[in-house]
Amino acid sequence: MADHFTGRLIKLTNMNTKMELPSDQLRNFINNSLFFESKVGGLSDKEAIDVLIAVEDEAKLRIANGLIYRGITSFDNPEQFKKTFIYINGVGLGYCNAVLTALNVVLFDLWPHIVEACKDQYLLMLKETVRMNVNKIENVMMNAVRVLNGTGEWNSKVRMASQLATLFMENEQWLLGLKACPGLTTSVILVFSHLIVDAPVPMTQQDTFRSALINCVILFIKGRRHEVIILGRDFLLVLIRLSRIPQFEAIWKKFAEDPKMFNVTGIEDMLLRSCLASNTRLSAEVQMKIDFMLNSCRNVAPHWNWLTYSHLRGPDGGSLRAEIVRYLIAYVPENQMQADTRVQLLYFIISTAQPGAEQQWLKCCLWIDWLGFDPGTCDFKMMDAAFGTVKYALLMNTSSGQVLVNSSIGPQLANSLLEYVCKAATLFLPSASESILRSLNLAMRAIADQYGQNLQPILEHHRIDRKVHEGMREIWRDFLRGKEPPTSQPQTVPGAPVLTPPAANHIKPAKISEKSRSRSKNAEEAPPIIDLNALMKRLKGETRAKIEALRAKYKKELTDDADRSEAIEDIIQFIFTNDDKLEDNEIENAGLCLWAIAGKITKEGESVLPDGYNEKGPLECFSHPAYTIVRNLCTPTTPETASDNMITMAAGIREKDPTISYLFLFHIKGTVTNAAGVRECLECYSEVARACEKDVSEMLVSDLQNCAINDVRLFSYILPFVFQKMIEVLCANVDATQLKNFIGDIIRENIRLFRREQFNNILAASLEWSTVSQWVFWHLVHAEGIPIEWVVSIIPKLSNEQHQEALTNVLLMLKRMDRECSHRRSRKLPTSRRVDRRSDEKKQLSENSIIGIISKAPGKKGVQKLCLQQVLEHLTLFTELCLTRDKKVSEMFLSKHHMQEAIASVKSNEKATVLRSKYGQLYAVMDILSEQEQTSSRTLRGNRTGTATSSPTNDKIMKRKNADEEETNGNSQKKRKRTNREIIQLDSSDSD
Amino acid sequence: MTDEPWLKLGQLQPNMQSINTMVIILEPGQIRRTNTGTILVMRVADSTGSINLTLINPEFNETWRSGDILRIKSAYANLYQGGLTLTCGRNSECIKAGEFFMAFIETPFISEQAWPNAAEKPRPSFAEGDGNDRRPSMHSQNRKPPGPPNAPGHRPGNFNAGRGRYTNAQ
Repeated sequence: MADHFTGRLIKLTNMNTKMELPSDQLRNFINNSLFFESKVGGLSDKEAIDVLIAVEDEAKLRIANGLIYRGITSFDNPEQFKKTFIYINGVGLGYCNAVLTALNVVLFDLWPHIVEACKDQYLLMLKETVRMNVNKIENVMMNAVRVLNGTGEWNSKVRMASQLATLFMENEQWLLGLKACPGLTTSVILVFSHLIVDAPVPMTQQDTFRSALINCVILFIKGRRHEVIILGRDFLLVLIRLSRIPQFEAIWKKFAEDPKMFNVTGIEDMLLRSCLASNTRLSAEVQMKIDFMLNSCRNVAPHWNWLTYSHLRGPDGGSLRAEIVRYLIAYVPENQMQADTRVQLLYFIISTAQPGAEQQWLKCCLWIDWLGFDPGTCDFKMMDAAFGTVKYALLMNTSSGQVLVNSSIGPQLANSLLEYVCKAATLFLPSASESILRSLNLAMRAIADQYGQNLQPILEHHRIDRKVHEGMREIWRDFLRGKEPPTSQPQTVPGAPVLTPPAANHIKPAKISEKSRSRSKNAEEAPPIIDLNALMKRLKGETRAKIEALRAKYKKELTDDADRSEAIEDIIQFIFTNDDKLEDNEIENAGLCLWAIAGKITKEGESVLPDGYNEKGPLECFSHPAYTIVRNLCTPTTPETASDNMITMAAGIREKDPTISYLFLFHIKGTVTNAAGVRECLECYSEVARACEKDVSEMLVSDLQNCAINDVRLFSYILPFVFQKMIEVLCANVDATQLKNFIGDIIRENIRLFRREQFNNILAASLEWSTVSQWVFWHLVHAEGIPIEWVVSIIPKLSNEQHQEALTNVLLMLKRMDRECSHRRSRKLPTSRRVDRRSDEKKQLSENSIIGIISKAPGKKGVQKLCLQQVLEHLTLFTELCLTRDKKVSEMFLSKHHMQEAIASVKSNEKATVLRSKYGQLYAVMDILSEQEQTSSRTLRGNRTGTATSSPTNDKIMKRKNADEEETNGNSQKKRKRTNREIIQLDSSDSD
Repeated sequence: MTDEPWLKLGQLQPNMQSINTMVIILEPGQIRRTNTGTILVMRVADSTGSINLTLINPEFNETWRSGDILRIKSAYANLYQGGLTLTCGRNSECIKAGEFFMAFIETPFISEQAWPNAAEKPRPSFAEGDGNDRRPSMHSQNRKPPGPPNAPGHRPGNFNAGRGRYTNAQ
C-alpha cells in the first residue's frame, strides 16, 4: 500500500519523499485515488459506471478526487484520459458538484506541488469540461486564472496563460452565452492585464502570447462589459496601465465618450466605485499566506522575505506587489493587530519595491481609494490603510525590529507618499479635480473622526518636508493650520507674559497633563501654553520672592536691556548658590518664569538676525535679556553644579519653548570664537538634548526644522555652522565600517557632503582637528572628488610643520592633476591666476608649499604624477599672467631666496637640459629678478653704511659679518643644492 | 506521526533525549565536512524562541530553505560551548512537513543563553565517542563563547585550538 502511495505521489509531484512529508490535502487526494481504483479496478466501463453511481453521497467527493487524479496523471496514457471522461459522462449530474470541487481542490491545495505535465493535463481537462458545457465550470476557470497571480515560475505561468487565453478565444460563444460570470470577468481583466504589461515585447511574429492576452482582455471588456463595473476604480487602474496599447486607448476614448456602455455616468462615477472583486485577485496560495501573516504574525519581516523569494522575483513581481496592495487595502481588519500588520506589510511592499515606475504605481494603487472616496460606499478602514502607512513610515524607529528596511527610509517614504497624493489631487484627473479634492477631504474627515486628537501630530510632524507640508495645506485646509498665528490664546491674567509656541510651527495647543507624557513628546508634538501665575505659585521661599520682585519691576523700573539682563543674571546666580535647597522642578520652574518674564526673542515675521549682520559685527543682537539664560549655558560657571542647573533649566524651557535650543546654537555661533569654547558649548547642547530625552541628532534636526519654519535667515546663518560641527563630529567618531558605508554612499551619489561655499570654512576648521579626524575628512573629500580649485585658497595658510595632513592631501590632489596646464588657460580661473589673486589679496603663498612641491615633484615614472615639468609649466604661466602688476607681489614671490635657489638647482641639473631650453623664458625672468635683487640689496647696504655707520671699524665688522654670512650662505647653498640634486631625479618622461 | 507531544524549544533542557518537536528554519546553514563525516547547523525557531539545530551526517539531497517547517523526532539537546543545541543524530528523524505557515519568535536565541552549569561542566571528550551522536556543533566556532572570561570552561586565545580531530577540515 505504501509503495502504491509513494508511486502515485511521485507521479503527481516532484516531492523527495525521504526528506519531505506530503501535506494532508495531498495525502487525502492520493488516498482517494487509491479508493477510486479499488472500486473500479478490473471492471469494464459499464460495470465501473454502475459501481460509481451506486456509491453513497458521502463518498462521491472521494471518487471525484480519484477521477481527477486519473485524468491529470494520464499524460502518458491517452486511453486512460478518454476513460476518465467516459466515467464523468457516465456518472452524470450526480457527480457534477463533486467533480467541480475536486478540480478546485487541485487548484487551491495541490497546484504548487504538481508537475508541469499534470498541469497541462489539467488544462486539457478544463477544455474538455468546457466543451461538454459542464454547469458552473466558469468558477473553476476563474480559479485557474487566479493561480496565475502568484504561484509558479514565470515560464509556467506564460504557458498556462497562453493556454487559457486560447481556450477563451476558442470558446467565445460559450463565454458570451454565460448568464453571469463576474468572477471570471474580473479575474481575467486583472490578471491578464498585468501579464500584458510584464510580458516582454514580442521579438518575432510567432510570439503571439501578448497579442493573445490582449485579444482575450478586449473580448471580456467588450463582451461582458456589464460586469466590468464590479471592478470600480480598479478598472480605471487597468486602463491607465494599458493605455499605451492602441486597443485599450480606443476603449479609453469610448469610455470617455460613452460611459453608459459600462453602466456608469462617467469616469468620475467609476472612480467613486469600490472594487468588489478583491477576494479573487490573488492566487489561493498567496492569499492564504497574506492572511496568515495578517492573523498570526507580529513581525512580518521574515515571512515577507520568504513570500518575496517565492513569488515576487519574476518579471511580474512589481505587478503582484500592486495586486497585494489592492488586496490589503480591501482587507477589513478585525482587530488592532491585524490593522497594524496590514500597515507594516504595506510599508514593506512599497519600500522594498524598485524605485521609479514600480514604486510610483504602488503609490497610485495605495491612494486611489482616497481620490474616489465616497462615505456611502467606502469603508473607513480602506482609507486607514494609506494613512496608516504614512503614519508608520513617519513614526517608525529602529527599535521596532524591522531589519528588512532601513529605518531612515521611513520618513522619506512618508514624504513621497504625501507628495504623491498632493500632486495626484490635481493631476490624476484634471477634469475631476474638484471631485477628487472633495473626496480627499471626506477621507481625511473620516480619518480625523477616528484619530481625534492624535491626527495633528501626524499631519504636522517635523519629519514632513516643508514643501510637502505646503502641498498638504492646500488640499486639507481644514485639517492643517495655516501660516497665520493662532487666532486666540487663552490668557489667564491680562498682561501676564505667556509662552506661546512659535506661530509658524503649526502646532495646535492642546491640554496635556504634565506628567502624562514624556518631556520629549511634549516638546515635539504640542508645546502647551504656560501660565506664569501658575508657575509662580509653584515656586517657594526666596526664589519666589526674588522672581516676583523682578516681575513687578521688570517693565516699570527696568527700562534698559542691560539692567534687565543684570537683574536676571542676579537671580540665576542666586539659584546657583542655593541649588542645594532647590529641587530640579523648582529650578525648571524658575527658569521658565525668567524666560517668560524676559519675553520672546523671536517675533512673528521678524528675523532674530539683524540686517547686515556679520560675524565680526557688534553683539547687539544678543542684548535681549532672555539671552542671559542662554549666555549662562555657554559660559563655564564657577560652581560645578552650575552647569547642571543650567542644563536642567534649559531642558525645562525647551519643553515649553523649543526656540531656546536653536537660539543657543545661534549664540554659540555668534559669540564664542575659540574652538575649545565652541566644543564646550556643544557638549552643553548635547547635555541639554540628553536632559530632554533626545538624541543629539534628533534635537538638531528638530531645532533646525523649527528654525527653518520660524526664521529662514537665521536658519541659513546657523546651518553651515551646524553642518561644519556635524562633519567634525562625524570625522572624529566614525569607525572603519561606517566610513566605508559612508564613502560607498558618497560614491553612489546618495550623499553629497560639501558645497563650494561652505567647503573653505570646513577645510580651514579641519586644520585644527586631530590627525585621525583629518584623515577621515580627507577620505571624504577624495571620495566626493573635490577639485583642486576648491583647495587652492587654503595653500597659503598651510605650514609644513603644523599641517602635514592637509599638505599631504593637497600634494596628492596636485599629483592627480593633468600634467599639462596649458589647457587650463581656457578656463576662467587657472591655478596660476588664483595664486596671483591670492597674492593681490595680500595672502602670500607660503614658500613652504611651493618649494615643497618643487622639491618633492620628481619621483617614479607615471603620467599622472606631479613632476618638475608640471611645476615649471605652472610657473611659466604664472609669470606670463601675473608679472608687471602694480603691486609687484608676484615679483616678490619669485625673487624669494628659496625660489631662486630651487630654479638655480634645476638649471644646474644635467638631466634637465631639455627643460632648460623649453622653459628658457622662466629662467630668464628668474635671472633678471635675481640681478635686480642683488642690485637693490647692494644699493640698500651701501645706503645703510653711508648713513648709519661711517667708522672704519664698523666697516670691517660689517665686511666680516658679510663675509661670514656669505660663507654660511655658500655652505647652506651647497647643502641645499646637494639636497635638491638628490631629490630631483628626473625620469625620461620629465626630460622629453 | 508520533504519539509523543510536540515539545516547544523553550522547554528544552540540557541532556534531554527523544525530543519530538516542530520548528521552522530561519537560517538553513551549509553542510560542512568534518574528519568523520558531514554536519549541518541550522537556526530554527518556534513560538517560544530559536535554537541551533545540528544535523549529523545529513544526506546531500537534504537541502532545505528558510521558511521550511521541519518535523523532528528522537532528537536530543546537548550543551556545546555553554549554549544549548538541538541535535539530530543517527537515530533521529528530521523531515520537511510544510512551509511558511508557522508563527515563531526569533528571541530568545536559546543557543546563546548561558546555562548555569555550563562553565562548571567539563568539556566532554569526543576522542572516543559513541559514533556521531555526541559531536559538538561547529556552527558556533565564530561566536564568542558565553560565560565570563575567567570561568573554568573559558578557553582564551585561539578559539579553534584544542578541538582535536573534530576541527573543521576545510
